[in-house]
Amino acid sequence: MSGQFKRQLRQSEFRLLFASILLAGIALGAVGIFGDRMEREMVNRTSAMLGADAQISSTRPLDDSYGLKAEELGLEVARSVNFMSMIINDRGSRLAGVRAVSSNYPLRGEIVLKGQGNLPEGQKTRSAPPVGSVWAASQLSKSLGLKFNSSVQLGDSVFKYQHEILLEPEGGAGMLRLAPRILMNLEDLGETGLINPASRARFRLMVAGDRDALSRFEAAIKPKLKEYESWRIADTRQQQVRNTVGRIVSFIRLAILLSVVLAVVAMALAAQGLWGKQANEVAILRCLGQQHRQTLKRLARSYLGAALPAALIGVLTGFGLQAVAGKLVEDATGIALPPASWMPGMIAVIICLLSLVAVMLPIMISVKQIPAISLLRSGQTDEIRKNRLAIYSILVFLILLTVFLARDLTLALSVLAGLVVATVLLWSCIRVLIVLANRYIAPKSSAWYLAVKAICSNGSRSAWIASTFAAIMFSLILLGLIRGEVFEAWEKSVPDTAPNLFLINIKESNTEPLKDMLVKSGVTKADMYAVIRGRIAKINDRDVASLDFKSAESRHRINHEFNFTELSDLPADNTVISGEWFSSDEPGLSIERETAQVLEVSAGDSLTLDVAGIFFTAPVTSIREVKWDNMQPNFYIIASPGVLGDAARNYISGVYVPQERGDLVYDINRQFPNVTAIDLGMLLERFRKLANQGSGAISVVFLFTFASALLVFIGMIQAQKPSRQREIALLKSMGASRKFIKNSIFTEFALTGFIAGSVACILAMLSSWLLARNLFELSFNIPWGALALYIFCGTLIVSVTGFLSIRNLLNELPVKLLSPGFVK
Amino acid sequence: MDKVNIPPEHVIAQTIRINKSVTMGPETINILNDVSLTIYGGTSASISGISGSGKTTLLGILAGLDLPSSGTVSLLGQTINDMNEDQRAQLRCGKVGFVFQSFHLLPNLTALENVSLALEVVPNSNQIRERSLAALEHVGLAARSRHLPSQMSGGEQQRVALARAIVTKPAILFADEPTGNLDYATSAQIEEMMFSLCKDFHSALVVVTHDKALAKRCDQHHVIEAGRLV
Repeated sequence: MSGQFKRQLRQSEFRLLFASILLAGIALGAVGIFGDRMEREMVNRTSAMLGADAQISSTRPLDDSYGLKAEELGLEVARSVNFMSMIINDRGSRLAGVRAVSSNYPLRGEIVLKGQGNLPEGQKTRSAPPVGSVWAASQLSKSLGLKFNSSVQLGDSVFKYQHEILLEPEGGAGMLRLAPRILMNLEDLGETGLINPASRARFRLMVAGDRDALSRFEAAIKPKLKEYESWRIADTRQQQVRNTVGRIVSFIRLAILLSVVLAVVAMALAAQGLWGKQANEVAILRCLGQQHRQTLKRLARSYLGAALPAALIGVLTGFGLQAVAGKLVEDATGIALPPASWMPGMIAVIICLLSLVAVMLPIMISVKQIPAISLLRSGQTDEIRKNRLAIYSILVFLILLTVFLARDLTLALSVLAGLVVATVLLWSCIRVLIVLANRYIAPKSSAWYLAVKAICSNGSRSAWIASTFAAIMFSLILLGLIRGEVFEAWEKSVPDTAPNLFLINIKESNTEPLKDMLVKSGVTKADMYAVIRGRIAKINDRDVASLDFKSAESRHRINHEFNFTELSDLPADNTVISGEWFSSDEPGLSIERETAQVLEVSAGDSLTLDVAGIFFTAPVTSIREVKWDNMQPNFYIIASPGVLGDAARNYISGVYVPQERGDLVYDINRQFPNVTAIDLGMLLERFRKLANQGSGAISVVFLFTFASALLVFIGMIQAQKPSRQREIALLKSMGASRKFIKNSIFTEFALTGFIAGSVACILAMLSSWLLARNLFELSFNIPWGALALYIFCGTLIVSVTGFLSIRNLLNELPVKLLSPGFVK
Repeated sequence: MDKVNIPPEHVIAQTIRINKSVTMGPETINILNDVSLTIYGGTSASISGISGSGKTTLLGILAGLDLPSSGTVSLLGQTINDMNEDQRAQLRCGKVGFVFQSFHLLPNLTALENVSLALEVVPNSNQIRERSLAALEHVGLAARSRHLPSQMSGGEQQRVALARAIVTKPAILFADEPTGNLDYATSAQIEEMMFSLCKDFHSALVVVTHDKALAKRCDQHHVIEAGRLV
């Protein structure tokens, strides 16, 4: 350790600066690396669910040029064809999904097989069934009683049944992707004779590779996509506001952001305090004959000498912490995160150093303003300490850093706007309080009066302290509230009784007998929803083919079939945001918000629906917000009862089957062979694991934010220590007792904390309502109890931290406190 | 750094008809009016006057810490009027010592480190520790070398400041109210030490003081009133 570094460490401000950089390093290192691993895991999972990084999906065979282009760009390519067909064996037949895949399927994720013969349970594979063989989903395998090496007929071909599939990538959107299916090799498909030009099949081209190649591929093929072709990419960014994964990532980013912003604020406070002392040092050095350049070198060496080790130690500590967190997650959930990458660590070190530069550079620039003569003129260095450039520099840096870290402008602006509004509001509140207190509180000899007087007579200092306290409390409360909301949303979105069995292809005649059977089996709620497949033919009596839509997405959607339903009551988790829900016998349609936007329709327009060549026209009476992750059947377009007349329909239902009735699915298959039962138990289990993984990460991140906040508290109190020192000396010299001064200081901090906490709570509530609504897409309930607790804790933290930080001054003699060399 | 030996008959610092004025809003205040003063090597001079008379400004200009509005100033044989702050700092480096009324020790440095600071700024300094310890010994504080300023009395702090001022064996020592913050006995001790060290190192001494006894002890005694030497 260099001599200069050792000397610097004797200053509390320097130690605070070192600690701030260290903490920023830990927060950025631990959370940054961990967040990166989480995010990569999320992307991997999204890719694994898709079986690839991206795919082109089409209702017609895909042009070879897509595959060739992908290969030319160095991407791996796999193909699949999905359709429904009858599966026949010696025990009977069943309608099931069939997926014919190329040998290298899946490109991402794995197929998990059931143990059988020499094959261990849960064996993972990344290849398709060999030619001549098929694998089948557990449910299908059981319902057909498939035996190892037995024969299965598909179209004109007979295959050998080889494995039972426990898990495989879903590969697409919609309920049918979850239907139990059989997996076969694409090379066998032609011989089955199942696919002809009139077949209803979905053709997919799946690609995987590095991000750049994917982006180039996307750019090359997107303009060429035909109306019946769609592009889908496994990127959490595209989906994050809608799913659990997105919420975890967004929350982690928000928490990292607050931790680092707070650490930079602590750094700035420490730097300002340090500068207060170093301005004198610079003047002395100038007096002794040191040139400007040498002074700058000396300061730069001193700051960098502290910052570099602090940042490195911080990031390395963070690296260790995130490794522990990763292990805990693995132990708890069995999910191994991808290995840590050094890039976030390097970014963390660079951000730490840049933060220091942003904080110290303006100060170093002002070195030139310090004339040696200032030592002979008292107060001159005080003026230099008021470095406005430093404040502007820190503000600009914080804005840039926030935008960089958030990678989401809404998040960045919400956080910054919240902090600025909190600070400004608090500043105003304190100023008003000062005016009122000055006017109405009569002088008397009490610690309470002295505390109020201290706040009033140091208006600027009090307002600054209170607004900073408020901004910190605001950040913590906000994070706490959002954290609660995210947890609650997860719990609510996957309640224990969430539907775990979906039943599709239910004939109208089967609805009542099936309901009876379900109820007898212990299923408490078994709502049947009609599904009527059709297209939108006209909007406001104009043929959709003649309409000029703004986006390609609109054209794409309009050419696809929709699942319509008829309902008299608004489904749970649906909210009407425009127009009114069906109230009488008047015909009407209710459209989901995004669909209405894409189709460019609003309440009052009329739609003509085409169901198998029969047209039905009705007005749009409402636009709905739908909570898609509620694990219930949801619909884009709902018609009021009777609107779709006698159009052919099937029914679907989502029910919760108690664990002890796990065999119900086989009874249903036996009694209603046309009904396809989709067991979501495993999917729900994966969803829960993901949520647990995220909640653990969030708790760790929250701790770092809290530690950063404490550093800011301490930094702020350190910054005002010299003026406190003079005040205490003055009061002591006038005969005030230690107890009296102690009480007044404690009261002053408590008052400041209470006011700061109250306003911060109100603002945090408003902001978290906005964030919950716009970013996380959650509903928000005001947690009154928690708010009261936050205010109490805020007051307590401010009073205790504040008091403890300056307690040592109380024990000193007034003469010592006033001596020029005194420093605590 | 070699010690600069300037014989008594040589001029070490000089002002010729200098004026200093500052503008405060619409008003221009004249702090110094037509002041001429010469300090010779190895001699001592005092500047006295009531508060606000301009004595500290004159000291600052003589030491090259500030520049006059008009007139000529020379220090260590060089005219400093056209020098920038860095050039003046270079001129002072190792050749000019300072003692301030409020000591101006760095609170986070020990006595030894505070003294060393004066040598650290001088390029190619060697034996910094030994020389600093020797300087502390001169002021009788070698035993307190590892103490921080906050652990010392006012008199001790001023002795450390004195050690810092003389550790480079300067050609001239400027002292601004060096005993202003000290009691009578300590003042006498510091005064004695200052004169004795200047004599030992053949350093000139310029002291701004209200203390008549201290002022009279100097070879030259100047009184300043309303910015003019009387």
